[in-house]
Amino acid sequence: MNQQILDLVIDSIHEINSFRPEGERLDPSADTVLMGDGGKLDSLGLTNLVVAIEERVEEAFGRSIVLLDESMFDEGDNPFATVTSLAGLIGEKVQ
Amino acid sequence: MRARFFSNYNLDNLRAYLDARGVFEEITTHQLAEWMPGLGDPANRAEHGYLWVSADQALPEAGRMYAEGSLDRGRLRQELDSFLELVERAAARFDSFTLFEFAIPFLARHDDPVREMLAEINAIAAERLDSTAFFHLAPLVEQLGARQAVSSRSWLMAKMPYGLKLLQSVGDAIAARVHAMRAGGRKLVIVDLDQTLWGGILGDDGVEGIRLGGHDALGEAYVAFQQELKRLRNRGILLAVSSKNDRVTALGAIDSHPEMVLRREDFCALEIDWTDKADHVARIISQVNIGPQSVVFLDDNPAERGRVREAHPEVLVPEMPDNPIQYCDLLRSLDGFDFSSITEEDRRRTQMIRENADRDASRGVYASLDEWLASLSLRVTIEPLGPANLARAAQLLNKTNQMNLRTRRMDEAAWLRWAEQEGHEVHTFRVADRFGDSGLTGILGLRREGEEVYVEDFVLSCRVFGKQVEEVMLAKGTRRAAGRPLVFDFLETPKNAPCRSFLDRGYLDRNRDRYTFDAAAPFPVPAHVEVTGI
Repeated sequence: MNQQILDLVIDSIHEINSFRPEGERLDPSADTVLMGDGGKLDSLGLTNLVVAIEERVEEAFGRSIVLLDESMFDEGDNPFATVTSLAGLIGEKVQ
Repeated sequence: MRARFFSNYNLDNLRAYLDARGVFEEITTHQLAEWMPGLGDPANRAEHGYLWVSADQALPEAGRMYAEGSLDRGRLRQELDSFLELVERAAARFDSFTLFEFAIPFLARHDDPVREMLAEINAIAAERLDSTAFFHLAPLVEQLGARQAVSSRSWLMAKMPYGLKLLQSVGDAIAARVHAMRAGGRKLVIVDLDQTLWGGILGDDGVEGIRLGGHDALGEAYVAFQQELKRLRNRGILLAVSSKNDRVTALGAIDSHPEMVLRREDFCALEIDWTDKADHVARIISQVNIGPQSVVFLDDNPAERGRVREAHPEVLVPEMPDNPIQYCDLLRSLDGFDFSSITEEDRRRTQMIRENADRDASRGVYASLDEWLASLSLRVTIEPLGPANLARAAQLLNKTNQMNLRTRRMDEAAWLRWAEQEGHEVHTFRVADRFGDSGLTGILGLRREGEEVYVEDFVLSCRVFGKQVEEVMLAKGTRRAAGRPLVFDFLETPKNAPCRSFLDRGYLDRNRDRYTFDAAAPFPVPAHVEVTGI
């Protein structure tokens, strides 16, 4: 399932990239930094990515999840920091 | 080109998508609560304007219908009239203005009464706003499926009720429309025969052996593909054949195979021999008299596609699916055909081009060009621009590239308003000869300023080049100038060299890009042409 979730995030990155200028596109790979130092995701990009992922999760797992929960940013580690950490968060939500 | 968008939705994604593709040089958005003040502000101008609002925001009564399910039709109609007045006033500030049809931006039951109300107000708006283009969202939603097209998440998180896939489709459709306005749109589809219009190899399998129709999914796929091409033809797009085949055998199959949908008369050109397909394309382009940027080339063979791409980089050569069952989908998904204002003349274009080919064939019979011109019995009818010829004339204005002095592009309403201003006039030229009627093919737009008359539009379809219709237009212009200098300020584009050649023909005095006719007597009407309305 981990690989399936990673693929799902990468598919979502491909989709949102067509709405970003060439220099701002995200590298569709597991190591990509999304937010924080070296991250390219602005608020519009974050919203797009969340919507794209949530819709794919619903299609793939039949589960409706909510990824953006303000409290998750309070505890230090940002789960949206990298593609890998985001995939981890999704994994927890669909279990 | 600049664009302004007015919407109660968040258009950041659509704007980013169009920006990433370089569709416009500059995009300004007046969105969310700003849409209405932005639309009403007379300072907000651009070449392209787009208005995308939901019915409940544009019409409070529609909002009540959404919320309460009841509707006061009289009040709705009043609100719609006021809204359409606002749209008309705003549209006048743009060269082209597009109103998105009212659609239901959420998943709704098939029998939701909102559907009926929206259909009604869309019909009224379409009828009233005849100079405003309508953007039809429903077909794009249908293609994707409503569950993919609308997105409650996107609405709640970003104030845009449609998902990214739908916005991509909208962006692609806008880009195709803008491309069509700039380049004149795709006008000609050249198709191969073997494995493209029918299955199998005619030379090997014989007419009886090719796959076309019958109780066979593949055979039916080729019939469906031909039907789709026929629809394009009926909407004014030209069709031609480029095939490496024995000509007699291939024409025999086209004429006689019982399941053929397309017959010989559906094609304006048939290049069927064993020569290079790049040469086929060059010959067809020359015969039809259009630019390569207006051509689509469809061939199942990747090598032939590569050859044509290399020789004619401006021709659109899409990848063909391996499976002919998907040919129709490919054709339906191609962008850039401009059907926005197809006229009766477009529908007759194949016939007219065939008549042209007959004229060219007859040219060899006569010893000199003059003799040939005299034999044509050319008739030119000059009429002012008006409601009856506006659609065709605007189409000519916006599509003609070669014989075009200043390549001015304007939509119908803006151009008519220009023509009605003091000191402005626009004359149209209909051309016919003994081979047939070429229809409205010339435009002369004049602007008087002080003691000089400036030629604003000097436009002639390449279908009638070289028959001295150009000279008739000059004769008309000098008569209207009535002794004042007639000034042609040539605006060079990559495509209008033929116009420069005409201006350099020696009738006019040249000073850099300015050409002037400054003689007391008007330019004479060519002897072999019968002119009405000079």
